[in-house]
Amino acid sequence: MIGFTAPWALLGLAAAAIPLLLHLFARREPPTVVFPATRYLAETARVHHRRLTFQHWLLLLIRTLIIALIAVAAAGPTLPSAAVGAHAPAAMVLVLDNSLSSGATVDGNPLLESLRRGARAILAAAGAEDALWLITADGTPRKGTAVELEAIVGRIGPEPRRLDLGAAIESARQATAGRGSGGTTVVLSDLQASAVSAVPVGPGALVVVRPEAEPVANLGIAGLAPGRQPWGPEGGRVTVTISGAGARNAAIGVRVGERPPRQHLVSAGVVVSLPSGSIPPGWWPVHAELEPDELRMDDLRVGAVRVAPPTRATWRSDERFLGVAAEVLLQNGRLVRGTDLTIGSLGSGPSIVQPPADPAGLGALNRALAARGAEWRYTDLVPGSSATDSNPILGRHRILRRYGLDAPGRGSAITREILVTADGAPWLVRDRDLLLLGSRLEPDWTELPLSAQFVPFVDFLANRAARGEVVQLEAAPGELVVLPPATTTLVRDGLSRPIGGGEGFRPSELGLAYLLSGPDTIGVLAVNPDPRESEMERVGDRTIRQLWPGARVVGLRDAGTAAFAAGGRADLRGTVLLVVALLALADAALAGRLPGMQPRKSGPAS
Amino acid sequence: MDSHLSATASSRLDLLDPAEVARLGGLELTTEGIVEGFLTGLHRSPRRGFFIEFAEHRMYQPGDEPRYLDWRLLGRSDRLYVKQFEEETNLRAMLVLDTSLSMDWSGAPDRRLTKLGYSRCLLAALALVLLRQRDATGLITFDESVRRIIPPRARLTQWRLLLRELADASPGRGTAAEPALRRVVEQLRRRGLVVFVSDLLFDPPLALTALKFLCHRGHQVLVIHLMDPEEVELRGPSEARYEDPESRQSVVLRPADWAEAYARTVRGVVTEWRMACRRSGIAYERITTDTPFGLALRQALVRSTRIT
Repeated sequence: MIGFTAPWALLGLAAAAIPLLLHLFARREPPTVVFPATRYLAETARVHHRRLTFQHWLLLLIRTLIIALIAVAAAGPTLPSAAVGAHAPAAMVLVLDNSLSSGATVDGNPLLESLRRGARAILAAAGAEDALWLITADGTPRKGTAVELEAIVGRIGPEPRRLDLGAAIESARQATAGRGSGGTTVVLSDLQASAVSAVPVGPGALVVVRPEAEPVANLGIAGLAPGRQPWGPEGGRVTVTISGAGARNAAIGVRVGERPPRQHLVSAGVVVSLPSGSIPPGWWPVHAELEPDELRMDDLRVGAVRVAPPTRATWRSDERFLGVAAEVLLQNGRLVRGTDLTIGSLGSGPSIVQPPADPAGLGALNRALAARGAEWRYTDLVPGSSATDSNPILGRHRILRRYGLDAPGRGSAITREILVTADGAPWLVRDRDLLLLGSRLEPDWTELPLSAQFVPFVDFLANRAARGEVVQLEAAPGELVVLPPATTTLVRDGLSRPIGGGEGFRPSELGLAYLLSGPDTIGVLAVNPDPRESEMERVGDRTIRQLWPGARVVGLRDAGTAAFAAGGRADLRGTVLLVVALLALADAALAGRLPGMQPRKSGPAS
Repeated sequence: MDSHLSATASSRLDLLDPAEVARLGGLELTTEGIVEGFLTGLHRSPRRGFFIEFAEHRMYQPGDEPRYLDWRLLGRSDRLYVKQFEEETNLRAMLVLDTSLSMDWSGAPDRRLTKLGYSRCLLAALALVLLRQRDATGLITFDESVRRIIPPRARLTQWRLLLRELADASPGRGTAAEPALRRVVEQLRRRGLVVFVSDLLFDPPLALTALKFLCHRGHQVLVIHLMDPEEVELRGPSEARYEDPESRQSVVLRPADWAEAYARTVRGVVTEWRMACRRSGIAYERITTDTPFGLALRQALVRSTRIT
């Protein structure tokens, strides 16, 4: 299909109508010339009229074509061509897949190095008029000259990210959008099956450069799960999932905190659960490490556990619903009786506070809260029913009665303390070591006690919310995670950096980062490789052509020549201008045959 | 031969540009000047040398018929001489002039005479030559009808009569040649010379029939087809409406596009006239209004004698 490097120049095609418009509209009544031999003219016109009329229309057509072709030539016409020596100015995007899997060593050489050679060969074939972009694992198109992009290619190394090749191709097409028939996208990748997502038919050419060596057999750690938290002092179990291919066995070691690592022999697809042994309370890192293979970056995975004893709490057993829930937790080891936490009323220490059943007691409660230094207060009974707003803590439950909660004078900071809302208004808030509920946990106030989520909610209140939120986040590098609203600081490798809670965050490096809310550690962010990067299985050419219609698959050796050739656009400007020249010659010849183009002498008197 | 011609041109009105000659004075004076120059070139009389008895030799002049060259003398002396003959009898000549509106036109009024103006001078000169040889000479003018008939006379006052009539001839509307030619028969009772001057912008059949009739009656007939150079070669603005002054027929065209085809048409018309005249024994000469009168006279007289 014909394409254009400067399609806006096609607007000049309108000028092709000029000869016709002049012919149609520039006519006027000519001057009258008295001429006795008019009878000869009439006879001449009668004999030659048809031939001259034909020649005039032919001349008009030729001149219209000349103008139109000049406009077309200015637009830079190109045609697909399998083999072109000098390519037309092209728009090309190199997708260089330096994702984690490109760090694999194949036959002693890094896979990325061979992809890099291919990219260099393509950039070496680029011309000064070519528009070039480079997309690497971060997915961002970078525009630059061949020299600039070659410098970037030389600098980059394998990144612990996953690159979705389908998304990268879409980005490439967006980068070259508006460039006539579209640019050429060249994908240099190890073509992991997990990275190849379908792409609809789009403009431009697509060249896929595949590595020539076979993919390596790899084992990687796909998952590291420390289980239900917090752990008790007796410790817990760490579940490790092994991904990859091949029948090879490898040793894995799992270390929790400072304890000696637990060893195990694993193979692809195996899930092992290793005990940690007893461990003192606190936050402890968890490392799982496989013995080295050709791809090192997925041989290590990190996580963290919080070790804490069950909350020592006191509650009134006659509380029909809250008391029962606490008894259930007691029986399951999630609570022990003690005085560290008061459940259901305001105690002398940390408390989960319900509003009084009798509104007359509300004033006394507010005064007691004030005496404790709390900033939140109960306000009036809110008329009508409402519902909790669904969030990770609590789903949507009907609220029949509730008191308003307000923290006068706190300003915007109060949002960090609001854990659950009902119709947008605070319903469960944390005020230092107090948790204030807007409704009593009874069926007259809310339907929550009658739901299956009630006991886990009480567990959350007693073991997590009352102690401070415990957040376990996991993300791959570059992946967007939303930090808990209360987060104020992120600590990594002993270095602290302030960060806004509730905001999106894209970690760039592997490892553990602790999330702090003020002085309290409220969670951990474990940044580990995307487990799909461990799957080295390569997609076949046929599948590529199915998923990416129109794609041309070539080997690395042919990358340099195939990129622009498959880009496939032969410059037609020369050909078009040659046709224009031939038409001009035809015009001159035809006009020469017509006496109108011959030199004129002085005119007659009328 | 060319050097001789150029050497005498400055003193001979017959070889000057017709428009320049016309600006020198009235019709009488200019005509006499033309004839004087013309006869000087001929030494004596154009009619000498074209009739029966040999009279003398003279130097070859441009326009002389090669058949009158004396080849023996050329072989002996390496000089060009033509043989001249003495006429035997006086001639009766009738000049027929087309004074239609189409004749009153010039393609370049500031540089060239109209066809009618040129005809006046040419016929006046021709009449003077004939009358000086005591040939009876008459005149018929016509447009859409016969306007004036002056019977042929050999008196010296005849020339002034002809001159006045030529000067007074005003252009009429149309062209009707055939009645005028029929009237010639009444004026020439015995064999004579008929000189028909016209731009021939009319339908040929009737006029040709009349001309053939004159030939049939034994007259020498000379048709002088007078054309303006602009009528021979079409020029003009980028586009124009060309209108016939007589019929008001008009054609809109770009002269630049049609010049070549028009020239072919004109050549075709001239050829048709020439062939038609030749077939009927009529002498035909096409003269453009930029031709010096001397050359035109020579062509006319030579042509008229060649057919005898």
